[in-house]
Amino acid sequence: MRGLTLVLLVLLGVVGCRGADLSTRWPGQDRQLRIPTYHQEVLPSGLTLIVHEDPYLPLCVVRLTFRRGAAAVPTTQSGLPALTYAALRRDVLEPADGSAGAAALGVDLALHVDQDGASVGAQVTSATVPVLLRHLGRALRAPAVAPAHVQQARDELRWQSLREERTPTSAGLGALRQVLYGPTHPLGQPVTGDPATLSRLGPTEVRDFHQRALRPQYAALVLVGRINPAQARALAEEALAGWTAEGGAAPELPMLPPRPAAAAPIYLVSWPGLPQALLLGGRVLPNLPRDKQLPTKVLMMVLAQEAQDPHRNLHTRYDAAQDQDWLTPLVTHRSGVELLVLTRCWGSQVGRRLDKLLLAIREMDNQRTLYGGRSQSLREALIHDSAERVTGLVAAAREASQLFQRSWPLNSHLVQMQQAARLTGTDLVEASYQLFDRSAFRFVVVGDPATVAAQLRGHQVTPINR
Amino acid sequence: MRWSLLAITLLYGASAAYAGGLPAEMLTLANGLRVVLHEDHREPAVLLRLRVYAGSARELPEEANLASLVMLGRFDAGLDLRAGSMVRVAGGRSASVHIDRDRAEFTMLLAASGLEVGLRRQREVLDAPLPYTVRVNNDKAWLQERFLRSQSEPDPVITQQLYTELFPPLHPYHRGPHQTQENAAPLTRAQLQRFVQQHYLPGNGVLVVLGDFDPVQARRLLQKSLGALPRAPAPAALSPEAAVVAGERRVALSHVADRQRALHLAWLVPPASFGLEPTAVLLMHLLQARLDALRQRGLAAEVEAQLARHQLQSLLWLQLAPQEGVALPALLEGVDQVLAQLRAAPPTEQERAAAGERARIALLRQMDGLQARSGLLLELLERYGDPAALEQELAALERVSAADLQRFAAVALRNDRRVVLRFAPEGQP
Repeated sequence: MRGLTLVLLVLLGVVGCRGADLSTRWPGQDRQLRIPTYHQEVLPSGLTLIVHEDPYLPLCVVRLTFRRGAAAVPTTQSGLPALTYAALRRDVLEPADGSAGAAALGVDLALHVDQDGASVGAQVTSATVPVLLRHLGRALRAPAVAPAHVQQARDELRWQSLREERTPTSAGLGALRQVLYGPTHPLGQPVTGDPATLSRLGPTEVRDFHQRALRPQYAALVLVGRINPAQARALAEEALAGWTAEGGAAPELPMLPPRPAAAAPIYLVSWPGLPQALLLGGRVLPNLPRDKQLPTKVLMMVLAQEAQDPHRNLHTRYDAAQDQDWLTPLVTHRSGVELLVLTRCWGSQVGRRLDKLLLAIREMDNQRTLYGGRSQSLREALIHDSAERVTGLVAAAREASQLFQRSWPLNSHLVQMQQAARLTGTDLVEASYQLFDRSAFRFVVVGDPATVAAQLRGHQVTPINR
Repeated sequence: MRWSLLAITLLYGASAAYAGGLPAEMLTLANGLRVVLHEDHREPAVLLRLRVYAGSARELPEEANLASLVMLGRFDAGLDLRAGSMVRVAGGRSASVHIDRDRAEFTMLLAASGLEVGLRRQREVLDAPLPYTVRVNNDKAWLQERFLRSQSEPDPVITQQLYTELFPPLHPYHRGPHQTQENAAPLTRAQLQRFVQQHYLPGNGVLVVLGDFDPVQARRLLQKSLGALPRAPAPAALSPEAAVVAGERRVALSHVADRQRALHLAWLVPPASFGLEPTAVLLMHLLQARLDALRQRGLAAEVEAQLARHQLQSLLWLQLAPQEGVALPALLEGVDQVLAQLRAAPPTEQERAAAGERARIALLRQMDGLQARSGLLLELLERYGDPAALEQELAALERVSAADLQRFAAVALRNDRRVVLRFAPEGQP
């Protein structure tokens, strides 16, 4: 009977998955652009199962993702979520009892933690999926939390934390985050915590966080590749049996509005001897309604295009081509949206570059005609961008994970593409009024104080001690 | 029982895929240009990747930056990104160029309807006239700026230092593309013209056409665009004396933009064409696993083993970062223990199997996405003369035994054949 049920599930899964395919058109194409769609269901344990079947390769991406990230704990426990996930990863790879773990299978288990959530996952051959899931199930049901694992995890995080202080880019981004959110905001904290906090966290705290937050009701198992929903369901129920919602108590913390540390718009991180200065700018937006996010995103693309325009002389075309400078379209958190820009220049040019950036931001606020004229090509670019994010196994799994962590619908990319097709120049102008408010921007300059300080004369500059 | 049933189902699926392989068709146009056609109709997109064997190894000693300067000129001829016209005309998503010691590459990802325009642009890479002098001068200035920028970051400096130590001054790999202090300014139009005439030839290139296209129409368009170029054979292959590191070389380096410490170890290994590539690949994965143990011992914070593939000689390269409080000599001692064990005894069958699985997944992952798959097709073409030789490559990996790994380690990973680069801020252990 169980066998029959399994066969029926397999058949239903295959039919259901094919029937759910959605599609949209590639600009200027008669053919339809296939967008992967995800099968989603909640298992009796509370675990969300997300499957995208793509039989093209004999591979499967396995990604266990959690909605509880670095911002799930008060700042006094900063780093605890990352420490717990790192200990879990270690347990899956090499169990504390010395038995063979996932590492013995040749599995490279990657861990990614951000403010909103965390994912552990790997790309494996289809035949390895059941064994990997069994190892995950073992570590989730009865976490060893071996002191050695916690120590290794702490070492990894401490090293990452130190590394972030040791290169200009990561030091600048860390400083900008603190400036944007303020020192007491969870999003202003580094994901890895700081060395002082980490040293106070041990197996007891890790076990407690695991018990509260690493529960199926906060998690999704994402499987992308040569696997269908019925197979996935059967595997998940078997391998993760006994991992229950019981004991889960990690409600989402209320997210405070960002409070910039001070009103000064420009901060300086001194890096004696650094030949090129880094200029980072950004602002935080309130959590935009989903229909307002798209125009904002398109505006960022306008700015990115402007940055490449040699007539504006913000950067050269080659800078952009070589990724020397970038603008992140938007960094989205469940609590809000960051808008960041980074540029690199010689220390003796930092004042000029900053002025140009400020000018560009101001101009973005009143260039109505620009958006209308470019909206067609931007829409196309946006559609291409959406398609790229879900093409390929790894990309499709990553996208599903991020959407789950932020509690967004799994068809968001399709909705976005449909919205993009309707976007008008007026929408962009409206968004620009909110986005390019110069007074909301904060800037961090990382550079040699001997060169940079003179360049920033005339601006109110606050030093940041590192 | 359910486990067995599921495992059988999944294994059956896996074997069915391997039987499918990597279907690709190889054409050689009358003028000598090789073309790889690989259809994938899942998306209405097409990727065109033209590889020309015109990397920096082809520069004469006094012509630093020439290959890069020529590439930039061809890039402008092929893809006018500044005006954005390419994107509008062909619905393109991205275009990029890349140069290394062996080759220059020109890649476009287009909507399927852009195939004809894309092929025309790729033809221009091979036959367009040199750009105007002003344009060339701009490119020279950019190259100089690019070099200065690369010197303000640690990674390019470390890479160049390793190659400089591994390859003697007159070896074609001693100097990389735009990685020299020498300015491109003295290069003349005549030099550019000669480089183009010698290397940007149909017989010296391979074009990959990958994606959603009709093969009959693609052949017709290929004939109409690139097939119309005159026949020209490839230049003679480079055949310098093989570089040998005689005696361990130790180098110390620091950089103001990086306050981390790291240890780099590099060995020369035979090129892909030598037939030992699968062994080197497996050894790299085995090393990664063995060195990971140094993290558990509290010695290393990060470990990465990689194989830098080249036509003449490849590099096996280890990068390690020590844990806080661990001195670099102590880390090197730990690495030496791992290496000595590898040389002294073959890995266990379980270790060999795990390394094999990593290698197999890494290979199959290259099929995920158009850009990566085009690279895999080119790699297979270079290694086996057949872009569809995926099965062959998988079988070659399968054939490598634990004893092969030990033998290869004993010969290739000798302490007296390596370069050890110690990277640390001045005054730190």
